[in-house]
Amino acid sequence: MRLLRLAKQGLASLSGSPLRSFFMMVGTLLGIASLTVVEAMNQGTREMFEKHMESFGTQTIRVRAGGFFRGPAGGTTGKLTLEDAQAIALEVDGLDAISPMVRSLDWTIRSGSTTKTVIGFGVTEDFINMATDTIASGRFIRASDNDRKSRVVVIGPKLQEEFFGGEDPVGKNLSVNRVNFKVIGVLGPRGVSLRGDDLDERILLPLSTAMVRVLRVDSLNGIDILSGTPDLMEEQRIQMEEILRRRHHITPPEPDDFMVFTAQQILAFRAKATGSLTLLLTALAVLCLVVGGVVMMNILLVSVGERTKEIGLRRALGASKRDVFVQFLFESTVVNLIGMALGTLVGLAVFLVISLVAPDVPLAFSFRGLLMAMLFSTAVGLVFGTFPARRAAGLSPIEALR
Amino acid sequence: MIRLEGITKTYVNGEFTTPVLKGIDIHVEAGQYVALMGSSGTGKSTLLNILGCLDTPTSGRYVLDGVDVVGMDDTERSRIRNEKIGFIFQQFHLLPKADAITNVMLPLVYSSNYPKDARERAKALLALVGLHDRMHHNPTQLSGGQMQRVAIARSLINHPKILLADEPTGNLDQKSTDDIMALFTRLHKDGNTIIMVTHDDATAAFAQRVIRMHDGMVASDTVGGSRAPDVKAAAEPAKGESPQ
Repeated sequence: MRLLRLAKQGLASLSGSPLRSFFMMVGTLLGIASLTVVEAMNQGTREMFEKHMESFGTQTIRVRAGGFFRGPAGGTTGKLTLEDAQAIALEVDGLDAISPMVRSLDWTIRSGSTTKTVIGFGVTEDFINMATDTIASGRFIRASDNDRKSRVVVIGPKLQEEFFGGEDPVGKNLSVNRVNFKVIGVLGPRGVSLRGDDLDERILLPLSTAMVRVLRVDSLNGIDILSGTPDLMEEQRIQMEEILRRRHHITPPEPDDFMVFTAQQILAFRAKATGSLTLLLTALAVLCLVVGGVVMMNILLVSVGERTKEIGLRRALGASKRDVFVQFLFESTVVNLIGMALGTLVGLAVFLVISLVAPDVPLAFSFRGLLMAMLFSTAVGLVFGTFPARRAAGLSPIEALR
Repeated sequence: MIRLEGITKTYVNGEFTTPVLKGIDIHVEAGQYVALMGSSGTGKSTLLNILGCLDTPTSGRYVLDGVDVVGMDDTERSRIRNEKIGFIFQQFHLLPKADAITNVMLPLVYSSNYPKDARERAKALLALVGLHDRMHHNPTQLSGGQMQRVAIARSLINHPKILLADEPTGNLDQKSTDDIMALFTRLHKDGNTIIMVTHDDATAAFAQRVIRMHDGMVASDTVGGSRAPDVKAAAEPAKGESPQ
């Protein structure tokens, strides 16, 4: 009951000086608001990664020409060949599919008056078995297309829209780097890759056609491998490295002229990069909360100075040091709680605005983050509220009333 | 009601020690109306602070209403202030943002047993001091005399054993001074024990007994114009006295 009466005194004092109370809570408000948004970004990025991980293929092992320390392949030793792919197929057990490929970032495609530069791949029939892509209409590249170096092409769904107005393009012509091709199929939609490439704007040619007729190269850019045995993936990866080193005459510590990696490794690397960004943002938001706490403490200290007479009076009328302490701590706690509630609302509002204005920014509401922010700011409020409350309680009533 | 024996107060500031009270013996009976006089620097404010349990003496004994208050901790002394003492200040000291009745009820916030009839009691006290129609006025809407009357009502809310008034008319005009003095006389007649610090002879003349201080000591102590009985000769029972 006495505590309730003290609380009432505190509330009366807060509502009696609304501007002062508002400035006391501004720091907490902004800190909590930014923590809410940062945590939403954090959560959104995490969910986006999980989605991409699925589309990358959780069981895919990728071999790429060019080592981490050597740069892209080009020299005579750095070449990744079809024979390398065959060696992997022969020597590594438990693989479901092996898809060698060449890649180019600037294939110029044209149909009628429409021209566009797109990413394209030369692949074998095994590509579709990687289980990352589907065929929406028509058919995929067959072994016979590769044998005959056929001029056939499979296109992404956005290209169907752009070049054929959404009509079924199967059987129609499309020129690729000024060579005439026939469209045989359309890929299912995939969206944007982690790297930022639009996977719905790709073209796929038979590997032999791409190497011989279009690009005129004799080496691969990469080999994608589908491991049918997830438990053995790491062993298989190491085995592939060993095969390639042997075939490329590399003896460690000589650097590799190729890379072998899985989805997990890429994601771990990317998570590390974005992780440090969110850590930085979180640190800034926490800093904001601490600064808010210091501001609150300063306003409280000034207010203790202003309210010296009031404190002296209360002491004379029977308030103990403890009573004064409790009232002041109550005031700072209430201010902090209100700041927290308003900060959450502001944070959610910002969250909504961002998701409306920029739907590409990965955001996902995180209840855990909100809870953590609240706990932290309560702690800040208590820590920074205690010092002024102690000062108020320690005032000598005689001095205060003078 | 009040027994001070050999009260001294010495302030220590580095190497300097300043004795402010040099051995005060005063005995105040229940229902007495005492004026405490003396020019500034004679220690009357310090004595009032000790009487009000806002300050502690360096040495000596202070028995209030049968309880030895020297050596009590802050919480106990706060409770004594709340339950046994009613303060009236020269500056009134009302909460500026609270209305009259809220100000009158303020001491009850710190009361260990909050009365059910708090509001009725506050209303009755405001009526007693003639402010029943100003209950919801803020201090800024009241005159000095009215503010002091609110403060007097506040001092009475917890049925105190003694009223301590520190120059209660020091900030008031003559008309208000007369009103307040009439109110004090009435409170005295109702049986309240009053100790009032003043430097004004005309105000002191309302009191039954006048204690004059000089240089930290009691210079004179007169009841109705004659000397007060010696404190040490008057055997006061430790407990069981009634203010009524």
